[in-house]
Order: sequence, then structure tokens, then C-alpha cells
Amino acid sequence: MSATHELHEPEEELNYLTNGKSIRSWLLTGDHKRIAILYLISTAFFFMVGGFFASLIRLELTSPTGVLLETETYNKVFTAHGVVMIFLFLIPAIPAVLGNFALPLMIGARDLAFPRLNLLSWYVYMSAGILITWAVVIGGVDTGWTFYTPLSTTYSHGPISLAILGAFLAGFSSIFTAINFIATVHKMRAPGMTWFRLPLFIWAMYGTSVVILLGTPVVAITLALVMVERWTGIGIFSPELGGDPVLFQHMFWFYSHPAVYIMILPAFGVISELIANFTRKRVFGYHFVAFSTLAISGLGFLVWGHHMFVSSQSMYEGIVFSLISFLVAVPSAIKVFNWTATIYKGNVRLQTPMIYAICFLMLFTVGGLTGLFLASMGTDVHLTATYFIVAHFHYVMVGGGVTGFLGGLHYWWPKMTGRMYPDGIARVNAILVFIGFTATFVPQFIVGFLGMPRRYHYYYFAPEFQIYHILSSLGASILAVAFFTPATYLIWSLFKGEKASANPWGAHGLEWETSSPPDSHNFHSVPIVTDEVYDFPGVEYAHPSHGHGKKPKPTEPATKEQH
Amino acid sequence: MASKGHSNGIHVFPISMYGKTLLALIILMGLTIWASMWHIPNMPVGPITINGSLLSNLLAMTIAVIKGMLVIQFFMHVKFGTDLIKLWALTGFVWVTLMLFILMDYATRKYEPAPAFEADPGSALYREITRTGEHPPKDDYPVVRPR
Amino acid sequence: MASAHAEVEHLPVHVHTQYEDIEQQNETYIVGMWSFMVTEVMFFGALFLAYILYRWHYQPDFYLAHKQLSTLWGGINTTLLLLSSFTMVLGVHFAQLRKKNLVVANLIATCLLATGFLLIKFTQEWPAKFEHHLVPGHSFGSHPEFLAGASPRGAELFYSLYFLMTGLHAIHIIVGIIIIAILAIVWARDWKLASEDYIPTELVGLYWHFVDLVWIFLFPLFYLIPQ
Repeated sequence: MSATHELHEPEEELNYLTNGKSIRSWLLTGDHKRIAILYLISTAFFFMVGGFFASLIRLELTSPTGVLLETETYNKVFTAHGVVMIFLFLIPAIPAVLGNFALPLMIGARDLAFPRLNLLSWYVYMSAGILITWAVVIGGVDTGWTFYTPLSTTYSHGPISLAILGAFLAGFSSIFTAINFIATVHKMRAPGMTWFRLPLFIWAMYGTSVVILLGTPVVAITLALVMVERWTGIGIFSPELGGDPVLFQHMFWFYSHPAVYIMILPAFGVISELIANFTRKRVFGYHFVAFSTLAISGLGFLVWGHHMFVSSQSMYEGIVFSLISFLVAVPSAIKVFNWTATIYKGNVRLQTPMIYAICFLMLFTVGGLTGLFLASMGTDVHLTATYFIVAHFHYVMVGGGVTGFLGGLHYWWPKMTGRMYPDGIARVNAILVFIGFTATFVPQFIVGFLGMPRRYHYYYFAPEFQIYHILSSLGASILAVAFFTPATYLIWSLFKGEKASANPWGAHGLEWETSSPPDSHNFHSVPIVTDEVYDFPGVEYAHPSHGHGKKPKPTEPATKEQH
Repeated sequence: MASKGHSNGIHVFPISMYGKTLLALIILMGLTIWASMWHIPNMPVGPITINGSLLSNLLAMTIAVIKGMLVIQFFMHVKFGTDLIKLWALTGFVWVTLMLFILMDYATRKYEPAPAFEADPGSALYREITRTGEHPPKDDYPVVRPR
Repeated sequence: MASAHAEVEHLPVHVHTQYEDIEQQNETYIVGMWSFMVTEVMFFGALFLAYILYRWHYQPDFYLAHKQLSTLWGGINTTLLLLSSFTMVLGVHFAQLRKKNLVVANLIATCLLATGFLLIKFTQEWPAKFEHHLVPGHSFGSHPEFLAGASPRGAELFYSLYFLMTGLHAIHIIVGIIIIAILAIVWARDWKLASEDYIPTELVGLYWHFVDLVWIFLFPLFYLIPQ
């Protein structure tokens, strides 16, 4: 398929891991693969930090009167959980770890378009992490990750500006990554790699990058306005000044809703890869999946008001948002149907990444369907600010996003490190994730529907909720174990795992054509793409053009793609 | 060394193009300052009244958009760029327009609320609906900053 | 394009390893820069949105309050910025032709014009607001004669938006001046970093034109509000 020369013995030739072993070569690297590893370590660390806060929350809620935290402290804990998990884990994780690593390999490029910008994005991310950690350590922010005014501008004491600065920087880190991805996908595809031969992971990365570019600056300026109002009194959100606090909510959610698509679109991309490669079959309806990615990127910008149904926004506007929110569920549903159709009559191999993919299908579907209750204004009025919402977004973001991240990590781990982890333990762990997750969040749906408010650390007015909270906390303990275990066996595999070949999964894609781990420059010579995407050898389809517009031509012109 | 006008295969534009653009920009700036000093009265046209200040605003914004287009097309070379660049240049402005969707909230608030609320004459909402006069009300108490 | 390719080979231009040739590198840089510009458009766009909202609600107050802004200084500033855009694009033009001295001259002219803009803003316009107690904060509106009949609430919003938007714009100008000055030094000293090809200058030019673009919209919105 391509002109690269594979080596099966990574030690005989320098790969990207061994090519330069000093700290300086790692901290000043331009190599997208090394930057991906740097991001992996930092995002994994912040995931643990956010998880620590989550365990405090679950511990606190086991008793109706609160167990160990005071109200103020609890506010700071759930804010820290939200800020760390969203800005420091969910938004960067798949794009900056898996995207950075795999995107150039998958399109046949030697590196991303702007390696130094890539490195800068990691440093900005680390500064953001330091600032947010610092803000938590010196006292914590109690406004919730949503920083609603006027609490955040006027009435709250605490290092809010510090936390906001951290979020601001994290946003810019993601913008730099997005700029890199867009320029790379437009301009640096290998010859023969047309848009419709791109793996769906690349489509997802592209869609995510567009959303990042168009949305993040709005939250950046909104949060900056909060900072300015805190410092100088010059502001536009205070009623005393004639301003409107609901304007903050509009501007904040204008980004934060597309932000959830930033968190889930990459996971969609990973799942496309996993399902195609572990059923050895083309993704059913490739074009539909690709276009639905773009549709979600676009429509996602028109639905922010569904976070504000009870905020005193005009109900006529609410009707419009409600309608469009129903519409935006359609492209996601199209993807789920297409993935399911891909699995049908496929050669399914239930290895770890595939188990994560199947967990994703089940969990994300539930999450998406519960979102419909929240999209409809009538039921949302009852369910908003309850644990139903908490359970819904954890289903999509954790059941969807984190599952996608873990699945992708397990899939590309042999490529990234050249080692295989023990598949048996990993598979059991994946099932444990599913069990722990379900045990944690299904009780939350129920207790939320029954009326348990979110962001409350006590519920003495409704002690009958306790059983649900205890079940949820037990599930959270299982989940904590299940999330921690991959760290152990993956790190173990670095030293004792069996060495991986270039293509241990028998998968299709340019990244599997290079050695594991790849050479610093990815490919020895520019690969030329001649077959369609997900074209597994030896597979015959009943319908010849199943999923693709045209048959592959026997020869392709080896000219550089224009864009 | 590089030959004039064909270095690196890039397109070099004559300075006169830039000069003409600058001249147009300055003339338009003068025009917009002059136009802002006109006072366009409200003009009744048949059954509707055209709001004079609205027209004035529209004129100022049109001139600003023309100036912006000149800068974008000629100074930023978008006119001679690839389709992708044109798309990107357009996208930013289209997306800002999407944000203006937010204004719809404020536009439709006065059509609220549902009739049931009118029943309670003691509520602030009732007072708000039944208030006559300016919208929003003129501020006639002294500035207080309770911080 | 074959002959242009052949010319490229002879010029000592550094093509990074991930690119095939200089054309791909240049086109990629332009795509990247425009992607960044889109973020800047959204960044300022949000503030324009807030402005539109509040002006719509407080139209008469905004008109009355804006009278304190001097159209003369605003007009001069606009002219300065338009001229600086012109000198910047001339800088790019001469960078394409590799005429180092003219590039440096134009870049310096751009810096000077921009500094003039900032001088006028920070010595003529903003201090006047501080003196007249028109800066939102404790002392706002304590000399009501400067409010010219506008309600304090509407006027305070107007000035909040004024300081926020022109302040953010001024920050972008300061950053721009620094970058252009550095670029001028790079050209003057013949550092290969950015002077062996015209693209870095073009990218800086794109940023600068954007800054000018924002002012083209800010000027009528704040200084030229019709009755």
C-alpha cells in the first residue's frame, strides 16, 4: 500500500522515544508524538485530581446531613471538580493526546503543521493547570465551574480571577491545538488522501477544531470581563450598572454548549476507528458519519439556550432552542445507528478497545436519550438543577468521552509505546468500568427525578434519598478502582509488556504502516494512498459500493493535494 | 537574486493598488463623519414611519462594512487568495452574526408573560407589564454603589 | 509552476522537515494565521454583541453620553491607523521584493503611526475621562454636568463598554507594535528567522490589518452615534 519500509525491531533503529533521552530533548521537542506523551501524563494527572474531588463529593453525600464538609467547602469542592475535569481533562484529552499522536500518522504527514505552536500549547496548558491548582490550594472558588454573575463578579470572595485566568489559558491552549489540526488536515495530507478517504477520526478532529476556533474566544472574553469587573468595577453584567446578568449566561453558554461537543466529537472519532477495525468492516454510511460530524459542529452553536430555560430568558427564545436541541440529537443518532449497522455481520473481535466501544454505544445512547427530556422545556423546568442533569451529563461526558479516551488509548497504546498490555486484565477492567459507572449514575437519575437538587451537600429535608446516594457512592468506589487500574497495567506494560509489532490489531490505516513505536519522522518516505479507507484485504461486500461513492482506481496520480 | 515581481512564484501587487485603497478608505472615513452630523428626521411614508436614527445607523454601518471589505480584500489579499481563505474570512463574521441570536431573547421578552401572571396585582411582574412610559425606565434616583 | 519551483531551489529559504516545499509551507502558514484571525473575530465579536444589546436598550443615553468623545481626535486616530495599515502592506510588498531597507522603513513607519494613535488615546482622550469622572467606579457621575443629561446608568454602561473595547483594542495595538518592532529588527539585522521569506511579514501584516479593521467598526459605533 505504501512505500515505507517497516522495521520489526525497534531497538535497532532509533524511534521517537529513544531518539534523544535528555529532559531537554523532551521539554523542547517539536515532535508531535512526544508532545502527545507529555499531554498524556499531564491530563492523566489532572484526571486523578478531578477524581479526588469527585470522591469527596460522593463521600459527603452518603449522609442526609453531610458527612465531612461545610457548605462553603463543598461549594469549592464541586467547583474544583468541574473546573479541573472540564478545562484540564475533557477538553484537551482526546485531541491533545490521541489527536496529536495519531493525526499526522493517519494522514501520512511527517509532523503537524506548526510543531512549535504545538509545544507552546502544552506549556500554556501546564500554566493553566498550575494556576487552577494554585487557586484551589489557596482557598478555592465557590461559584461552580459556570462562574455565574453576580456571584462571581461581586459577591464571592476568593481567588476567582486566578481560576478564571487558568480557564482562559486552557482555552488558548486548545485554540493552538485546533489551529494546528486545521492547517495540517487541509494542507498536509499524503498524495491520494482525498477528503473522503480520511479516517473518520480525522473528520472528528477537524470538526472539533472548528468548534474550538469559533467558540472558545467567546468564553475567553466573557471570563475576562468577569475578571475586569472584579478588579476595576468596569463591567456590563451588574444590574447596578444597568447591565444584565443573564447576558453573562448567554455568552458563557454560547461557548460551553459547543464545548460539550468538543468533548464528545473526538470520542465519536475514536469509536469510528475502533468499530471499523475490530469488526474488520467499513463503517456503514461513511459519508453520513462524516457529514453528521460537521452538522453537529454547526448545529451545536445554536442550542446554548437549553441551559437557560429557567434563567428568565424569553420563553419564545426558549421554544426555538428547544426545537433545535431536538434537531441536534439527530446527527448523533445517525452515528449510533451507523456504528451498530457496522457491527452487524462484522468479524467482531472482543478485545479491550472493542469492549470500550460497545460500552460507549450503550452509555452514550442512554445519555443522549436522557438529554431529550432536558431539551423539552416542560420537563426541563422540573428536572433542571437536579441530579437528573448531573447523571445526564456524566453519562455523555464520562460514559461517552472517557470511555472513548480509554478505548483509544488502549487501541493506540502498542503504537505509542511499542508494548502490549495484558489484554485479559484490561478487558475485565473495561467491564468493571461499565458496571461501576452504571451503579454510580443510574441511582442519580432516579433521585434527580424525585427532586434531589444538585450542588447541595445535604438533603435532610428528604432522607429517603439516602439509599440512592449510598448506591451511587458504592458505584463510584468501583468506578474509582476501574479508572485507576489502567494506570497500573499500562505503566507495567512499559517495562514488562510484550513487544508489539507494527500492526498488532490487524487494523487498517497509515499509522499501522510504520513501526511501533514510530520513527521520529513517522515515515521514511511519503506514503502514497491508493485504497479507500477501512478497506480490509480479503473482505468482500455483497454490495460493491457499500459505504463509498466509487471503487478505488487502479492507479492514483502522485501529485500533492491542493487542499 | 530574485527577479522583480516573480520571486518564489508569488504574486506581487503594484503599490498603486494599495494607494488607491488607502485613498478610498480616507474618503469613506470623511464621508462617515460628515454623515453622522446630519440629522435624519423620522419620515412618515404612508402608514409606517421610518425611524430616522435607524437610517443613520444603517448608513454608518454600511460605510464601515465597505471600508472593512476594502481592507480585507486588498490589504489582506483575500481577493487574490484561495477559496479556503475566503471561506475562513467569511466564517468569522457569519459566526458573530449567530451570536446575535442572543438578542432575540431580549426582543421577545416584552411579549411575555403567559396571561396567568397578570392575575396577581401585587407582583413586580404585574407592575412591569402595566407600567407605561419609557422602556427601560429613566433612572431618577441617585447613583448608589453598594459594594 | 515548474520554473517557479526551480527558482525556489536556489533561494536560501528554510523549509521545515514536515513540508515538501516552500509553497506548501507558505500556504499552510496562511491557513493557520487565518484560523487564528477567526478566533480574534469571535473574541471582539462578543464585545460588539454586548455593545449592540446595550445600545439598543439605552439608545438616547448612549447618544447623550457619546458627546463627550472628541470626534476630532477619533478622526485623527482613524487616519493614523489607516495610514499604518498602508505602510504595513507596503512593508509586505517590499518584503516580497526583498528590498530590506524599504521593508524596515515601512515597518518603523507603522510603529510610529501606531504609537501616535496610542499617544493620542492615552494623553488626550482617556485622561479627560478620568478628570470628568466618567470612569465607571466609585466616582462615576459625581460631576453630572459631564453626563449631558444622560441617565447615570446608561452612561456608565456606555463608558464601561468604551473602556473595555478600546482598552482591548489598545492591548492588541501594543502587542502589534512590539511584534512589528521585532520584525523590523529582524529585517535590519538580516536574521534568517523571518527575513529570508516574505511570509512572516505577511502574517504580521494580516494581524495588523485586523487591528485596523476592529477600529474601523469601533470608530462609528462610539464616536459617531447619530441622534
